[in-house]
Amino acid sequence: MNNPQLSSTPVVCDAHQEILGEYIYQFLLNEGQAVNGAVHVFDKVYKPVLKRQGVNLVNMVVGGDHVAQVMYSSSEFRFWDAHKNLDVLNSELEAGCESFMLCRSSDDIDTALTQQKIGVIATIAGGRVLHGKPNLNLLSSLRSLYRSGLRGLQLTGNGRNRLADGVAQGRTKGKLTEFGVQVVKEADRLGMILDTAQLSDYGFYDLMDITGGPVIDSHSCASAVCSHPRNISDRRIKMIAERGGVICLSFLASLVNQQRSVPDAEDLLRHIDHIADLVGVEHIGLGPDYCAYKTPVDRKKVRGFANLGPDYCDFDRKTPVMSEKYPGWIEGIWYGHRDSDFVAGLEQTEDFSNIRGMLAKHGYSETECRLIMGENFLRVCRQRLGT
Amino acid sequence: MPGNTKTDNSFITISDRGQRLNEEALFVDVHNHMMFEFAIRRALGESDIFDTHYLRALQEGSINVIATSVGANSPCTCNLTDHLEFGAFEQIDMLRLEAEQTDSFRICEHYGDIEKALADGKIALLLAFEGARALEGRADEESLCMLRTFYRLGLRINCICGAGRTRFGDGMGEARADAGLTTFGVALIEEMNRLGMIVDLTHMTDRSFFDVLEVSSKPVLVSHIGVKKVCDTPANLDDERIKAIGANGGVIGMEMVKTEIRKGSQETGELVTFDDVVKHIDHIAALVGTDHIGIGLDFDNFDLVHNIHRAMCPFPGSIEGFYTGVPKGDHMLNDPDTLSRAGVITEYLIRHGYSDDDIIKILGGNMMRLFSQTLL
Repeated sequence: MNNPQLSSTPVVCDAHQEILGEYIYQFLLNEGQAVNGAVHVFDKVYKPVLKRQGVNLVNMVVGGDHVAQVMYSSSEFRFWDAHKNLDVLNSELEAGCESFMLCRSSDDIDTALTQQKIGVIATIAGGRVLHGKPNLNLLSSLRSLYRSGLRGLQLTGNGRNRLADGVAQGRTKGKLTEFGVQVVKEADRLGMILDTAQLSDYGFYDLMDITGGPVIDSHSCASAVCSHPRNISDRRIKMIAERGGVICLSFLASLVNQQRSVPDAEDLLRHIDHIADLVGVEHIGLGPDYCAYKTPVDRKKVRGFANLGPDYCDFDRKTPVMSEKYPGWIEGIWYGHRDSDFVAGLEQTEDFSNIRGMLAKHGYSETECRLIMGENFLRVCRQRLGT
Repeated sequence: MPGNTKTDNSFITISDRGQRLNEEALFVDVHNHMMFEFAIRRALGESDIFDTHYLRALQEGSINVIATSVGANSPCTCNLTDHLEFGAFEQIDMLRLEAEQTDSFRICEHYGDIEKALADGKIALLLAFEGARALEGRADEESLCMLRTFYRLGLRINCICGAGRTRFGDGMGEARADAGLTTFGVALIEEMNRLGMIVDLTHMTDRSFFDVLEVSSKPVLVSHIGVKKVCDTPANLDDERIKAIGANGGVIGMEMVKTEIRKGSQETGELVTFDDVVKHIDHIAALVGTDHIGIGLDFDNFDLVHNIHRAMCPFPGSIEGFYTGVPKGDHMLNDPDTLSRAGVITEYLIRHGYSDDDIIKILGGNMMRLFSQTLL
């Protein structure tokens, strides 16, 4: 904001992206060269995708509660996998890769934007990564990952973890655990971005009592528009807005419209309109939830990214959604089988920038578009991260 | 330092009536922790461990049936591995190997096995968990395959929570979350009912506790605990819970840990005997009668390891957020203070006016009823 160059480089942010898998895979294949800087795998594999997507700030999922979030390795050890992914990013930076920055502070984000680099904020989509020893409440996992560059913390996936319960476990009516409270307070102290996506209602309201600053919801829609257990109530939306936070809309078809197999832009815009009417356009962002393994239809367009390793790949699936073992489900939440996993016209990363035209056509001003496309998210990042 | 077979007669001696009752009654210790020491002896290369170290103590204590914890939520109770399922596999394997070598005890899987073992004059042993983390399986699936695997290995009593959180429900160390059973927890209870396993509600938070009672179609167990009205600790049972267990037809095992019997006694080191436990028993009997009272000694004081939690846990006096106190001196009752002294319980009950019928029920009759209804 205080950098004049920023105005000429509008921030375009993807607030929830899970397409790291192929990049990690290619890095490990070329590790010997990559750590010496002989090759920058990021430039070859990831950068072109982000350029086509047209984003310059990415809230990048480097691990989480669900096996899909550890992608290539299908590891049961969430902590290990998050460290591996962060190690890849750090190794490339240490080896001289200059096309992106792993942003550890708001100054880093400004620098990345000013220098026309891609700003990467590393986040986890669920606290199982932080469990550590099963019987002890240790914060060493959180701090270790923080030192490696982790700056985002989504507390849960759909299920239970040692911090709290996700939306599929609403029956417990559980608040945060003692461990969950400790983790949140330490994340506050360190300056991390708290993400309430997938958190159960009881957990959400408890979290809002515990933490003071703004939070984000990185990839949800409004349940008033589309009733789905993953979507959030008006009460939640208002509470996030009151704190100055941002709700980033998912492009997942199941969250946008339950009735239509392939929802279109109008369906997505109804969510945006609803939230704008309710709390204002200053609290809207975009977290499409692009995951290579969810990207349907044309294999050529997503070549490479669906290769998630031998035990996680099926070339013949029309809709390679969610979970290998329980198709259509993720940990107790039904997403269903659809002809497309995403809103029509926004099916894959390179379609992302179409949203700008959709918003403009719908009547959102240039300024409002910029807020939605990234400036709102950036505002929260600035508040949460240190300088 | 209490030994496994130490006999201290300084508190009370057993009368003829007590002797007769001890011979006549079946004594069930529904929460036994000999594996704490057993596993260490195994690691030291000993063999014939049960016969050498525990058989005589159990016989001297007039104990006929033990439910032995072979797995739990923390590495210190699970052979020191964070992979709790492996620790449980190891401990079950140790016992099964010994059971092949000796006929002094039998690992019982059904009620009929217990009857047969007792008729043959053997110690009947049931395999139990104190905390079900070893059954959680892969983190993002709700698979019951671990439960059924352990069932096939003989696991028959399953305490759902230790002090902390499991994927099924919460222990009292996580009371702040105020959470009920998860969907996985509901599925676990239903499958345990179907298989014929006993649900143990020790350590559970309120909402999870009452959730289980709604879900379970069988009587349940609270294996080692006290009464909140007598000794106000987070673990102990309030009246609402006691009445719920009574209505369910379940059984409550009284434990011998000082901190749960007389508040603060662990820190002061004052003497606590079964006289104090009788106050807990009196309270339950007044509320729901004597049909729901049993014994779960919880002794973890042995020659090689005196208080496993103190020895192995990094935060002394606390287990997963639940404060247990740093003991001054012994953390177990002064009398009985060890397995071999368990026979004095009968005498304490006699002195407090309990009838022969009631004593027989409390020592093991009620537990045997629970076994007969659940271990089919």
